[in-house]
Amino acid sequence: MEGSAEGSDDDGEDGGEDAAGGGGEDSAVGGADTPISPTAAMLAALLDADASSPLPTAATAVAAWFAHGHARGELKLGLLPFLLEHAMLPGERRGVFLFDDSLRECVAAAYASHSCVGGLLFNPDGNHYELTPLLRIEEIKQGPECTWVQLAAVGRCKISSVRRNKLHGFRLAIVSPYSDEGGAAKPSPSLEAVHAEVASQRRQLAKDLTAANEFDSGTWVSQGREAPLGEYQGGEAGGNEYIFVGADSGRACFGVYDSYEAMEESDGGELCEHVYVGLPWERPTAMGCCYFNARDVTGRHSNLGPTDLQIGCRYAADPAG
Amino acid sequence: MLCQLGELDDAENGASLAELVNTRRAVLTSGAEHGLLELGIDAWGVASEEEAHLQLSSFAAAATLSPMDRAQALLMKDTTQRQEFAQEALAQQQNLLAGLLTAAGPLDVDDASRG
Repeated sequence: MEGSAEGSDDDGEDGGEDAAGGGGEDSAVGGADTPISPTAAMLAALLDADASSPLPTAATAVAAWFAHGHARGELKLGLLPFLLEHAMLPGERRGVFLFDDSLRECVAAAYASHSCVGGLLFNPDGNHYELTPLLRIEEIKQGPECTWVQLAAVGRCKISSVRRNKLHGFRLAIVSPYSDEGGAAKPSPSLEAVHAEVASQRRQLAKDLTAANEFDSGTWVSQGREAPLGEYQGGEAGGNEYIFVGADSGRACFGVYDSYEAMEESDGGELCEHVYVGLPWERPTAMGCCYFNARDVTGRHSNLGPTDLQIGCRYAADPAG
Repeated sequence: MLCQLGELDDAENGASLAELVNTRRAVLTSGAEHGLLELGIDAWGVASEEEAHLQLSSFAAAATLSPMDRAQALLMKDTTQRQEFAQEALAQQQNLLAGLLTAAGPLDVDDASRG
């Protein structure tokens, strides 16, 4: 894939320990003696000149932090691991549950400062890509067992160095802007036309399948769907939230097992995939993470704790962990 | 099939490209009345508001592609290339969806006859 690159050896990544203090306040790489590019200097000057501009929004604050950091060569981001297929495109928003203590520290530290983290994108083999989505933390809720954050993808960055926070164990990286470099694009009427047609088809198919579902509950299975349309819409968990949990072993799939779940509504059972989230003292300091669609974090199983969650089926283990 | 279609129960399923762009613009601007360029989105490397809009539109067009196609769109460094990639993938979806809609037709007929 264009612009992608397998990560360097994980041993190498872990070799650099970050001399971070508490709360994720990491020492700067680069520093005052770091040469500043003309472009970066210009950006800094523009932002400095615009300091009195009354735009007190999260978006402008992040933009200012990003430009200043870039100008000084010290853009450093804490990283949340994602499978490549879960990558957020710019402008997208997603709620995420974090159970891993190090990742909870990562977002807490970021939220206390510039409110940005990066998405470290992994392939199924555990190697990461050089590109990372720049994720703004829009909202955070911290509980005794997990942290929930709402992330918004606001740009892309290129990773130049990945290391580990010495105190809390999460990964962080020195990053630089990653942007399109091609010539000036033009509006594409043909793209808009085919998108409009597909959107219409998707609306019609969803409508048909919903209607069919009322007639035959097996329709969704035959269409390869995980769940009926709308079952989770409007729910507190939403349909785009993922649970992130730490791997119990760097090279093992995290606590995933199959079982036949007895369904209250039926006499038979249904093959389900479960994940054992684990207790704090059972979690290693490993970085490996799993990704689960939080279908049942509330609602039908709201009486269960996080160790009993019956959730989806996507996972990845970081061998470096 | 699922891989090529992406999510059908997503809240944005069936949304127009303009709606997708507007939703993303609101996320990027935190809902404020700013232009994308006004925000100084250094990470986007754009020189004009139109350029920012086209780049955002190219990402929005890839929103409903399969997960790996979305990832590929993310990794691209050329807006025009991303537009062409999204158009090609959407054309494939168009054919697939046409087949699914045709297949779904008899279900409605059977349903009606049994009802």
